[in-house]
Formats: sequence, structure tokens, C-alpha cells
Amino acid sequence: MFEALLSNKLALAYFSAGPIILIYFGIKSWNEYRERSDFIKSMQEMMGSKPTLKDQIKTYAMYLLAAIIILVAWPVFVAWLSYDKYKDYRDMLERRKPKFFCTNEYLIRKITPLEAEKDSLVIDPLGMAPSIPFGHLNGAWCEFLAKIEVSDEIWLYEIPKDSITGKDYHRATSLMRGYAHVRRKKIIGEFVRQSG
Amino acid sequence: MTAQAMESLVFNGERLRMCTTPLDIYLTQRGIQFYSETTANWRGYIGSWEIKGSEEIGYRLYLVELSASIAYQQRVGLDHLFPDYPNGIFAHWFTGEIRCPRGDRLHYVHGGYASIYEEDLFLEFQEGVLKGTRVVKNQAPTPIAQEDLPPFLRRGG
Repeated sequence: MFEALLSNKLALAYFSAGPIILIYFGIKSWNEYRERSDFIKSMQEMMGSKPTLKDQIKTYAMYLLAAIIILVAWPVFVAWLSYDKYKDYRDMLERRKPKFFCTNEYLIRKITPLEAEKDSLVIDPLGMAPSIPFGHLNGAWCEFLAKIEVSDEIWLYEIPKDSITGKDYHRATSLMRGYAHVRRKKIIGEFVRQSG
Repeated sequence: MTAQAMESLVFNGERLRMCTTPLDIYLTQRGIQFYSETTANWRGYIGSWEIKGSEEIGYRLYLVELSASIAYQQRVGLDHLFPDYPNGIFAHWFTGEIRCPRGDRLHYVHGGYASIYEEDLFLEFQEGVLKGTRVVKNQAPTPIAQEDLPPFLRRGG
């Protein structure tokens, strides 16, 4: 008796959740439809030829099918929705990531600023570059160094020609060489010394 | 993307067009972006380059002129970027190949530097110093028959 009551209660709870979820998404979708921008409305009016009876039947059949799925198998719907939200969140994090040409696989060795500057003096016989480390790029180098904190590291990197690298899946058309600003094993800045 | 305006290069007394933009990496490093006045020049500038030098000191790549937009119809020159070097700068950061198309255009492509010319002269540089040259002869691509194209790309008839 008690077991039957319990299973009835569980079934009731299960099948009550479906309509609640359905009503929630129904209202949400209706609001989204109503709050379309004027631009979207005018575009839809421009593009949309009048739906045929067949189109309308298909649309309502799809809504009906979706409603049945939500009512009967709402945990599957909730799981799919959660996964979709998680994917959006993951994509948003990916978009926000700073993008550099250099990625971890191209790091060669840790280097001090002094070592980096030692072999980077630019000498131009025609005097069209300042005879200082990294020549015309000295200002960029100083900006790069200014961001280095005591616990940070500078790594020499080399990206071979034709590699597909981090920044917007850039293809290196030549050897790229420079220095990466590494904080807790993560690249947070870079200075490109030579590239094509 | 529209076909992009080329840079110019003087090499061995010959004025060439250039399908490479060696200044880009410098601008990226300095966080400088010019204003684009036309879709045919998204980068917002045109540089004039020259290879100068001799057998003894080597041949090097120099940017000798610049015309860049900082706002609509407001152009600046090389002195805007390099006030201490208004007559030219050595592009010591440039490692790679410069492509200079020569001859007639065989095939137009409405994007970037993808058009095909009779030949391409490639100049190989290492840290701004010329290391070698090579010439590649090109041929116009075989036109694709209308029936081989997907229906939405076929010409209406």
C-alpha cells in the first residue's frame, strides 16, 4: 500500500515537472518572439513569403512533437539544454582568451632580458636603424618588459615556417622568432622579434 | 574581400609591385592600426620599399615612404611613425619571402593578393637582409566548365 502510494507520488512528481518546464519555455519563447528588434521584424517580413497550409501543419506538428518530448522525457531535454548552455559558456571563454602567435609547443628555453638583448643589437651600415637592442622594435620590447613581474618568466620561442599557430589559426609564412611572457605556465604576452 | 592595394618596391633599379606587407608585424607590436578609407586597402596604408646596399655590406630592405590614413582624408607619412628616421628605416624584423608579381595579369581574383600574374619574383630575407631570389612562372588557371559548377554559381542563361 505504502509502496504503491510512494510510486504514485513519484510518478505524479515526474509528470508534473514536464508541464512546468513546458510552460516556462513556452513563455520564454513567446517573449523572445515578441521582443524581436524592428530590423529582424522588417527582414522577416521582406523575406517571408506567406506560409502554405503544409508549412503551417509541419510547424505545428514540430511544436507538438517537442511538447510531447518535454512532457514525457523532460530529463533528456534538461540534459540537452544544460549541455547547450555549457557549450555557449565554453565558446564564450574561448573567445575571451587572449590570442598570441606563440603557443606552449613552440617555447624553447627560459631566458633573461639581458640574454635576449645581448644578441639583438641592430647595426645598419646606412644608419637607418637605432643601434640598440631590437632597433626600431626597442619601444615594443620595453613595453613587453614593463609588464613582467618578479615571478614571471620570459621564454624564447620559434615557430617554424608553415605552422598553424594560435592567433586566429595564423599560418606562419616564415620562421617566427620572439619571446613569450609566461605566468604560471601560461603565455600572457609576446614580443615578435622577427617574422614575415 | 576586395583585391588589396599593393606596396611598391625598387630592386636593381626596377620598380616592382609587392604582395607582402612587411610593416604589419611592426604595427602589430606597437598596437598601431591605421584607418581604412577603402575596401581595396583594409590596412589603411601603402608603403614604398627599396632594397639598398652592396656586395660588401649586403642588400637590405628599407621602407622609404609611407602614406597612411589616421582618419578620413587625413594622411601621414613615415615621420609619423619614425620621427627620427623620416628618410627611411631598415626593416630588420622582416624574415621571410616577399612576392613581387611581374608581367600581365592572367587571372583576376577578387580578394587579397590572390590574382595571378605572368611570373612572381620571390625575394628571401633574413632579419631584413636579402638572402636569395627565385622566379616562378605562372599559367592562367583552366576555366571551370559551367556544368561542373554547383547550380547556384552558374551563369544565368
